[in-house]
Amino acid sequence: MKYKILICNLVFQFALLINFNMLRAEDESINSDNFHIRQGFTEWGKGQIREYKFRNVAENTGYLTLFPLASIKSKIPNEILKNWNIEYHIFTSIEDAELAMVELLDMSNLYMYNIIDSTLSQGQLGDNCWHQLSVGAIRFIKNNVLVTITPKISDSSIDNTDAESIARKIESTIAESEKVDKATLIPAPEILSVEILSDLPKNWEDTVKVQVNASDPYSRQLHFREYATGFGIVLDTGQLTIFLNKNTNQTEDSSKAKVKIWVWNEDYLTSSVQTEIPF
Amino acid sequence: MSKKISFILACIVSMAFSPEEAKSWDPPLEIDVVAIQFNFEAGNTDDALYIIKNSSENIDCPEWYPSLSRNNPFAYIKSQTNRHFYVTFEHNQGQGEICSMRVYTTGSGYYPGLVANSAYVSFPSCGDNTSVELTMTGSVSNSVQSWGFHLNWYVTMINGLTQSPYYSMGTTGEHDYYILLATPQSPMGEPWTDVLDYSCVWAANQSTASNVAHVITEGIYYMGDTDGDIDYDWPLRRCIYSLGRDNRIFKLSDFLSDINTLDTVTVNCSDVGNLFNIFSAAVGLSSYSKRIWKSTSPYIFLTELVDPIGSPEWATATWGYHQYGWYNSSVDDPCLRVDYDSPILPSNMEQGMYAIYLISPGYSYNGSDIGTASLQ
Repeated sequence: MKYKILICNLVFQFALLINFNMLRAEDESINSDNFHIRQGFTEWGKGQIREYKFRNVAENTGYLTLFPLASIKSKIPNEILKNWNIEYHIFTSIEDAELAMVELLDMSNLYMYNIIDSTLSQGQLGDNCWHQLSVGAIRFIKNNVLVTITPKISDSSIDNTDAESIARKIESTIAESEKVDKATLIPAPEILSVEILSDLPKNWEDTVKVQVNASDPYSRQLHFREYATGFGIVLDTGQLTIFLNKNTNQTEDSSKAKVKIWVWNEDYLTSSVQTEIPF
Repeated sequence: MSKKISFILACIVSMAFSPEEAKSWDPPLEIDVVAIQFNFEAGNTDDALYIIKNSSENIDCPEWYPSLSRNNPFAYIKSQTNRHFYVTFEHNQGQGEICSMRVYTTGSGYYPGLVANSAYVSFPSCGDNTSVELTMTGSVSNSVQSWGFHLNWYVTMINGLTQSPYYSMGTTGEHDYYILLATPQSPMGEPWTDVLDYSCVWAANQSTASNVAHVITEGIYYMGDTDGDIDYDWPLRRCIYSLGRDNRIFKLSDFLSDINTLDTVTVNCSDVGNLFNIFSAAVGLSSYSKRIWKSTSPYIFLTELVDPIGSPEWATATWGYHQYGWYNSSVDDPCLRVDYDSPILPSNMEQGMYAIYLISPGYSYNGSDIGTASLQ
């Protein structure tokens, strides 16, 4: 009788577990209402573009205005932290954070797993997350922050699984941090105007010189980069040479190209502007 | 009347048979080479190629122009012969004094030929300067080089009178020049000297395309920034200088500037594949970069142990694609070494062999394309 109860109990728990996982699968994988797809821009063969699946996140969950680096340092021992790079950008919208994630994934040959399809041992991390623990790399978005964690050196003495625990501590610190409820309250660079300095383009793959005029509320140094271009091409002046790529710059109106430009300050508070350039 | 004719005849005969001798010049004679233009006409059938320094700076001509403190390099293709050049001479004797002269050169260093057989130089209207097309009789080296030479200039005759000793106009140079393997190819149809300064040094003494491909692959792999090496963007492997729909737009000016000013230059495989294309095309290879990928999700393939450019050292990698140099339907990959019994930088390697040494068993790619870089 005792064994019967035990077996029943186990069967029940097993059934519950299956049921829970099925529900979870239905909730997250089958129900496409919970996800949205963002397109990459690099072509893999004729017209083949990769797609990146994001969990839907409400825009009004609060915006971080400063990365809580001091709090993170107090939570993670220095002997661990010293081996890791923590890069972050604080955006003025969740959409921008997601576009920045697409940019990072699409313009790298490091393959990263989407946590939606390849869960981490401790479950969901951030609002959206990609990971490649074989090299200790995790990227996640939490609220309006995009965080990338990578080891400083490729050394077998570093435990790459530390990346996940570091990421979770950063996530919880972000969750606990003070936020504002309006994006306009983020002290990010203000983009005032974009001037076209050169002749207007005639075709895709022409180049156009533009001047982005921006200011920072605390006069911090600004950095500028065109969206979906090489990550090394960062300028401290707003004078950019734009290369018109049909995959990234096309609009429904064929007489115009759209160009997205990132502007960030020393605290990695990042604004963007999307401007139209007529042909 | 007959007396007059006899006198004139006597004068003519005496002039004809008088011994040639150097005229004494007042003020002391000075004839100088004041400018030399090695690229002076379209194409390179007879003269030097059209080259530029980079996207924003031309190579001004005449290349050698000391009054403007100008001494620019020029370029030939290997084994070209009898290169023409355009030389400007000036003298200090004033109008009407010198109508013609004959010149020749000797040389020092690695000259592609010499002005031989006392080339005739005319001063139009017996003026005090002239520009003439001369020929350096001889052959350009049959291998890629980055060389220099001096020319020593001599006048053997002035106005038909032999100069004894020959008048020395001094020495010009050093004339620095590049020797390319073949006609430069896109995207370096107009080669940048900022690129040739690397390619021609790496490929020095090479006379075959496969050898040039090999040494350029090596040159990029061991290329330095200010701390001695450029590094793989590990572990994120982001395109640092490459962009565009197929990662083949390359910010060459930014890259060249960074390797001369920064000690933290990083690249990924797209950057390096484009570099191979650009640096080999500059010396005349019809090269490309090739991308391989898996076209269905998950887009992953795992590598065998590879040793990427710069640091880090040997490791396996999980890739979403890979890009490398491609010439003559063979792999030239300056991004990594594979373990080919011993470490080897893939060069002139057959694709199937490369895939065996690169990609871990159980993984494969099923998409690929080739293309040339565009410069931005």
